[in-house]
Amino acid sequence: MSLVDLILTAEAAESRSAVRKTAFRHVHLDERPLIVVAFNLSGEAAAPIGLMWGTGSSADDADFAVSGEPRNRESRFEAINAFCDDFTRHLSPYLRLETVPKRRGGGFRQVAKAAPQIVVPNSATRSYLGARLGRSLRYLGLGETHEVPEPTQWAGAHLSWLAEHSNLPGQSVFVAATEALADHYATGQSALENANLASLLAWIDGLPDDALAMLESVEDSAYGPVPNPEWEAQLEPLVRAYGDALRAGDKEAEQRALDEVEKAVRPKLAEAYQATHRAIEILRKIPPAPGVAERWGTDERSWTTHAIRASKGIPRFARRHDPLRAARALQQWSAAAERLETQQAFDDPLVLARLDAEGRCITGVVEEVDRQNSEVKPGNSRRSSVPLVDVRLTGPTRLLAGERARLVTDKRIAAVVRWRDEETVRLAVMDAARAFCDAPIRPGHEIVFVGLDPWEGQDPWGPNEVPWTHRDGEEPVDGDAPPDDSPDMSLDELAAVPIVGIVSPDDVGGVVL
Amino acid sequence: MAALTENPGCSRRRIVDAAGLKAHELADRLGHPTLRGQSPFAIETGNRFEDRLKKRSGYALLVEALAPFVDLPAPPDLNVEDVNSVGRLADAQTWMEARVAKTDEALARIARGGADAPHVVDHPVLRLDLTGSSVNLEPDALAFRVGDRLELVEIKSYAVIDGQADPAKVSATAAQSAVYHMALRATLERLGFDPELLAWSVILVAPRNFGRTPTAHRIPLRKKSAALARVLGSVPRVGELLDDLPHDLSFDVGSTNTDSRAASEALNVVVSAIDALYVPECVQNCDMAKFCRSEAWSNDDPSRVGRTARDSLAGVSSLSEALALARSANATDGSDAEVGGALRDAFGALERARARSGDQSLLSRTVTDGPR
Amino acid sequence: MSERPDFSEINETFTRKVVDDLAATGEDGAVLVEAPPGAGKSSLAVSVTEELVTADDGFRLPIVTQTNEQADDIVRSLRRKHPHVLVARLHGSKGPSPAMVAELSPGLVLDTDHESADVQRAQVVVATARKWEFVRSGQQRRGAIRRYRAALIDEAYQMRSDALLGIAGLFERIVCVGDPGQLDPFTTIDDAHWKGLQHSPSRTAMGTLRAFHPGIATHQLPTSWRLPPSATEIVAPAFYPFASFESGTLEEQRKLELEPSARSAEGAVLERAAADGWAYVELPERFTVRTDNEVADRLARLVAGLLRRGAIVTDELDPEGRPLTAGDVAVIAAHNDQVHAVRYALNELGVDPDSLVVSTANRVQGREYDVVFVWHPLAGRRDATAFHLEAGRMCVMLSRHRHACVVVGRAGAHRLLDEFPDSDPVFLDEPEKFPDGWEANAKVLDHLAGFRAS
Repeated sequence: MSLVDLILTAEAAESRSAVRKTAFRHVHLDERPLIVVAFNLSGEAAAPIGLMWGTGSSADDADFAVSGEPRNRESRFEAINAFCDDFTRHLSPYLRLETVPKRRGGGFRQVAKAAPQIVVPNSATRSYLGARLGRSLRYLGLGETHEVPEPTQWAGAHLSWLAEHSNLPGQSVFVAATEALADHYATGQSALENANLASLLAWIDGLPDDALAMLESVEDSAYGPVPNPEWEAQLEPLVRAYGDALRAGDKEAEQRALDEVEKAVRPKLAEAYQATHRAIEILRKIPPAPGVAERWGTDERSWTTHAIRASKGIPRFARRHDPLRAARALQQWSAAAERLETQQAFDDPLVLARLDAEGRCITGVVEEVDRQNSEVKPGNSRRSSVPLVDVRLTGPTRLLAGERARLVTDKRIAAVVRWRDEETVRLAVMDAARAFCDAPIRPGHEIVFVGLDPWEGQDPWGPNEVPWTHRDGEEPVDGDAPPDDSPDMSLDELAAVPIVGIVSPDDVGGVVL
Repeated sequence: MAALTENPGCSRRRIVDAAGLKAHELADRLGHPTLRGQSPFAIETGNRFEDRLKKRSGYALLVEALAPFVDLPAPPDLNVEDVNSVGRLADAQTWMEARVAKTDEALARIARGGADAPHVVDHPVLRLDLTGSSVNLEPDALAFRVGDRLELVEIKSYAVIDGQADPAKVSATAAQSAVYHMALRATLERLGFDPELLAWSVILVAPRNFGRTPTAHRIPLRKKSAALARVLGSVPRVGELLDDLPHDLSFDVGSTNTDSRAASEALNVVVSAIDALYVPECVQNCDMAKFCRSEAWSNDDPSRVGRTARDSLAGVSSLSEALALARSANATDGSDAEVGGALRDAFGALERARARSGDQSLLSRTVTDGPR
Repeated sequence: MSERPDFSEINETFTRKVVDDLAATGEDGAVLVEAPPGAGKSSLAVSVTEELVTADDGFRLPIVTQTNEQADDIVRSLRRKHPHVLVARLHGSKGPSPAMVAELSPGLVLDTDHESADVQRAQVVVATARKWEFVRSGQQRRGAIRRYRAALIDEAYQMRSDALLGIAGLFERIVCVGDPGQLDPFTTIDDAHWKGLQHSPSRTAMGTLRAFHPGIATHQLPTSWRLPPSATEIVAPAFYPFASFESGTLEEQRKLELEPSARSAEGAVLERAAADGWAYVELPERFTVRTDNEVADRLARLVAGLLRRGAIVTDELDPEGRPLTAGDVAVIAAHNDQVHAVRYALNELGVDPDSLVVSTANRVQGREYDVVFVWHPLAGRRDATAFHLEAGRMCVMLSRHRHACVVVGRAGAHRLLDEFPDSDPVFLDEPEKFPDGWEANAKVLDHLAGFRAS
């Protein structure tokens, strides 16, 4: 945690109210993003007890699906299929491709018209929906796995793509409200506590005198995907009643029991939905940073590759990255992380303040500008324009002679620190000297250079085959899911499930004193 | 024990453990019941998974899952020693003693490598001497002999999806297994065998992907064991800690008191007398966390926002003091001079940026957004 | 005295082993040489290179380094020791370094284009892994990958797995030379995604290579020519628990003599270091910001004190002795801002901070100095993180010196170790990393306790 963030945290704690961390919004927001919230039955990897989704402002209008007994296949897939059907339908317009002229070299290329945006309450829900639910669905219907409706298979593919894409730093396709809010607001609590949307919102709303009591009361209402154990203890008899009705083949009792489960689950889903929607509206009020549109362009291009694959059938995904894919992903994600850091610093003075506080900026007042200076640059034979600027420091800097820095107001302009003492720094403009000479930079003006010098050239192509160092003689293990890839219990097994109430941590096997 | 290895700097937890108190009961009596709990569904799934591997398949599923690591005969050739079979004895204490004895006996047979030695010891009970008192450990883990090696096995019900499991859960399993590992080594030594018989790892058996078929992974334990040994090795420190406390200090306050509120307050005084190191992660590891969090809030302790915050504040004891240093116009003397300088620089950078952004709502530093 | 290890003998023996192993290795094979600090890794690389290209007229050897400085270093050594070998140094678009320009001669080609006639004529082609990746990428684009028979990878333990993936297709065999005890390469993004995979791009290249090819020939250089016996005594057990090595020199061969001076705090510390090879300055316990001025100031005073003392260095290279200059001295810290603080403090004392090396551990890997001053990473911390306890970092800091090492820290380091939380996540199928940072740091602290001075 940087000292600037620490000060923001202390300010928030003092005022019992969240403090803005950025001057701009750094996440793209769709006009009507799809909000998805979910609760999963504990003890199972991917068995949703309830899902709610929609694009409207009210949970009353949102669609939802509840499973009476997620450990039963019929019941579980009734809910999953309902969600997947809608989810796939929601995404299908975004898969439409149009043909546009290539930017270079003539010819045409296909692009998706727009990328979708899905917002979930927290990052745990994001990985639950993508890496768990999506992963559990994407091999279904293949090999000996059991059949599911086609939209469910499609949803498995979409969720899997989303899970993968969500690793890209700066992406806005699959957004966790907690992360987006915490990127823009500092609260007076820890990062761990900020993973809870309810308490983040409470900070933004402002807390009463007894702040902790308020936070403790909202923390219990987790917005998924893991239900509160106490709530699950209340759910258990309802789920059991549904299972009993299933076994008895009593349709009426089954419906009654399902209604009961729904009555318990829907309000929790609605709370989570409403909170997520509020988070979006709060963020919407912050003006977007210039870099947001550019990053959204990257999102759209990534989505286009998914859409092109989807135009040939349901896209399939490997279980794990092979060496080539892994190396490419690491390279892309690291480059995106660096680009994001740089872009935000140039876009947003409050983000830049963190670098400034670490001494990675040259902040000061222009003392003198020499636009006529010319030098022979290394590797050149002729003289070229190298304007010099002397800056009287108004804040400390750790940049040393020889280090490169860029002008915050025009990042094309890159300069090298020529010499420095504690009060003054002389910079020699090496790149975009013309732009520098044309800029209205006069003695007495405030000026900020930042010591960021991102790689802007082309990266090498990744190899197209796995070299011998990264494989042994054997074929890589991959392919379809084995047929046992299901959490199902037979009705008899369900009947044998013993009733347990809420359990204290010490009642689980382990130390016996 | 996990709570302590995750935060060995906490004297409070150290003393609570040394006193043999159950942290969650203590927290309850202090009026701050634990935030941690177990879902009934999760417990049931766990029991069912273990049952399936053992009883319901006659251990066949377990043997199959372990095959990549351990070559065991399939049932009925598999020789299982179920320590529970000592029968129900009159009182819990005697029953436990009988199980410890039976576990010892089974382990001795294994270590000697006799033909009649069991392949699997189920429901073993191991005795471990900790901080002067002895503790019985009941792993759902089992010991196997393969060649001249003993293996420790732990069954868990969290999913291993495409070869990956939740790293926090695996870490917890490893920490728990390290305790069993230590107890097993101690037992072997007590029985006069070479503790190196036991492999420095635990074999985790857990459901593969989303189904109920088991899969196994070997988790190395050297690091976790070393960490555990370190924490236990500094047990003498408990003595020093106690020296600093009032000699009449007792957790017994109010256990017989009928006025529960007064009892809780008395206990509060006692517990507060012992220093705690509260950090946000405590909520995940320690049942006392809610009490300590409340205390950290009232002290405005920077550690409540994290270890790095506490570290970078270099001893500044509260968030508001840090803020005052950041806002102060002039350099301060004394121990806070350097951190004050750093905070002032950071605050200067922040204020310059706020001025540059020209956004009034940022300058006011508070947010008024929408209706509550 | 005949048992004393002999540098050229060991170098020749290992050169022979490597060349023979390579000859016996089929396509898609590797030879690995692990070297403790200052074990003559570079000399071996140079000898192996010379041996390979002179034994066979048609043999052309690419050399892969991790940084441009390392590439320049190896070119310089090759030029010095074997001026008859035609070397090409492939550089990036920013042009060759001034050091290479200064080195320019008919036996050295400086070029950015691997396919140019000049480069193709060279017997040895030296470039960074990144540059080789561009070479592979270019050939792939043209649909013509031309494989070299063998390549030499220097500082292989500083290479990430994805970097090896990017270039291995160019080489039929590789000789890897590196020090397993130094800092691992790192990634800036969360690599949980690939944990447990042998081909994880964020692993070390050697980790991946050995996982897929467990049978590759591995040699361990047995002798450190840099570290004096006083250093090997702690560096070997703390950081190389699985591969013991010893110093190639005797205690009496290395001498650091100081001119007498008036008694001062600095003087006592320097004298202890000169006599024993180690000195530990333990400032009183205090929680400080990372740029603890007191530590920075003490380090600067020690450096200034040493440079004023007319120190004479005597060793096997200079049995007659040579005066110690600022260029033979380094100050190593964990963080960049600490480096800045030391430079500032040196400047205040009138010592030109550019006259010596003041740097972070990451940047001095593979380097050596006569006297090294270390800012102990745990000094003044209230809470230690895994970063501060990283064994590789401490190893780099404590194994750069030929004569003496002075560590400045604060009391309370033992408390930090006692309070260090064990909360690392555990990933399935991911090997445990040794040596353990905690254990290594504990050993180092115990060792330093025997060399207190103030």
